[in-house]
Amino acid sequence: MEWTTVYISSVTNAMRGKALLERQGFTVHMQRSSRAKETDGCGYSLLVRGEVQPITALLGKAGIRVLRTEHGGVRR
Amino acid sequence: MIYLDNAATTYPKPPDVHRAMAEALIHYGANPGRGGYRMAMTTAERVYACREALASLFSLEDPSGVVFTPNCTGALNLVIKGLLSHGGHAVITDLEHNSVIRPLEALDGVTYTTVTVDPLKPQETAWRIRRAILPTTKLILCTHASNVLGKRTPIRAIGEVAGAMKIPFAVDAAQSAGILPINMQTDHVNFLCLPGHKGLYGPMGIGALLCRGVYSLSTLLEGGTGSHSLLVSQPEELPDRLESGTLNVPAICGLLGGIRWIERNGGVEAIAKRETALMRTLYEQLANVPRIRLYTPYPDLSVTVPLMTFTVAGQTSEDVAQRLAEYGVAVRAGLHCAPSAHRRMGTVESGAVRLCPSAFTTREDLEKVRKILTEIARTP
Repeated sequence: MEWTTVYISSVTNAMRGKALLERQGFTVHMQRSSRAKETDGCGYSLLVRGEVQPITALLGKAGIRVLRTEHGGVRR
Repeated sequence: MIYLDNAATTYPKPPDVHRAMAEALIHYGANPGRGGYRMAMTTAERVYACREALASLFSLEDPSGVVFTPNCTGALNLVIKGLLSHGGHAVITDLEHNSVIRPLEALDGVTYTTVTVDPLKPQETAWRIRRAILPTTKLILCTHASNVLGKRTPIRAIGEVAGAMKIPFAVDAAQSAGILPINMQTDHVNFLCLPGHKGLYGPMGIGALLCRGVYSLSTLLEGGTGSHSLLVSQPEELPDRLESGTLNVPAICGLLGGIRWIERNGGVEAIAKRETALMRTLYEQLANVPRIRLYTPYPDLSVTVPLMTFTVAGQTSEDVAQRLAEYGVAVRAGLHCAPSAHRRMGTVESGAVRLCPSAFTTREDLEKVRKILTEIARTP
């Protein structure tokens, strides 16, 4: 299955998103975003094993603001 | 020492808190939300765990609504100054602490109406609140429990009024967080202000503002948040919006230790029931001691928190506290930063002495205090 990188600026919301996705059975790694501009500067991203749409739908429903997503990603 | 000044800050702190703070200094020494290396991430996880614990304890759906502050006063200032501006109006109660009155007084062009609370008549109290609302009312704020009279404010009834009128409702839980159950959803609370170092048994220097609902606060402090760094304006999302600068991680870890300790010891209600039972015995005994006058109602968790306020005829409250201190009993005298409650009691001139137990207070402690107070009252 594909990995999806989800860019979320705040560490708190990234943790909240990670917890939420893990509860739904996703494998999630949280890490510092490698590209500052994707998070308006600094921030964190979630590397999630799964398709973009269900991941962003779950996060959006919980009110977690996703700044950007991209297919693939590298766990650092 | 018999420590009965727990309404000011609880002492001793549970061993869990000592351990959690020591662990924080050793293992969680990075700045959370700033780096991506292992210790920065594990530190951020501890901080988030405390947000989750607070959200769970107070039935807040979203842990990102937990904003850490230095204390309860800091949280109250965020709400009061974040919602009210020139021309705005607030409704408060006659039991408020100076941490509510002074920020309100400091705001230019802001007015407020004070409503009398009767814990035995929640609907009447709520109706008084309702009648005090003006077209310009931007905030209803009340203490959950008086730090002087021990009386509870019927927050659910007041919250229903606030919800129906679509006015933000804030609760000062300085004396109730960790003592009384609070459910932000069913109590219709939008902003819950709390200290970490009282009923939650954390260290001093940590408090929290729990935010629920659609109301946004303007900021008192702007700065680095570790997020959205390219933006020159403060981020909109919580908790970053209200949490600029480095957090007090050792205190946050200590607070988490305090919450876990409460959970392991039966929870909030079990601790408060035990304290209330102890205070009932002391109350019944002191009520019969000549020259001692009690101001707090008979301890009953449905209308009070476990604290007791009294005076001794012919002696100032500070003199009584000093005499107790000579016996090794720690209490607080004076006006307790809540002059309006003392006006209600008629003790503005003399002040009063306040006793407040904690989970560590024993029946033997209070029996000793009874004997000492009986002697103090007998010999002016």
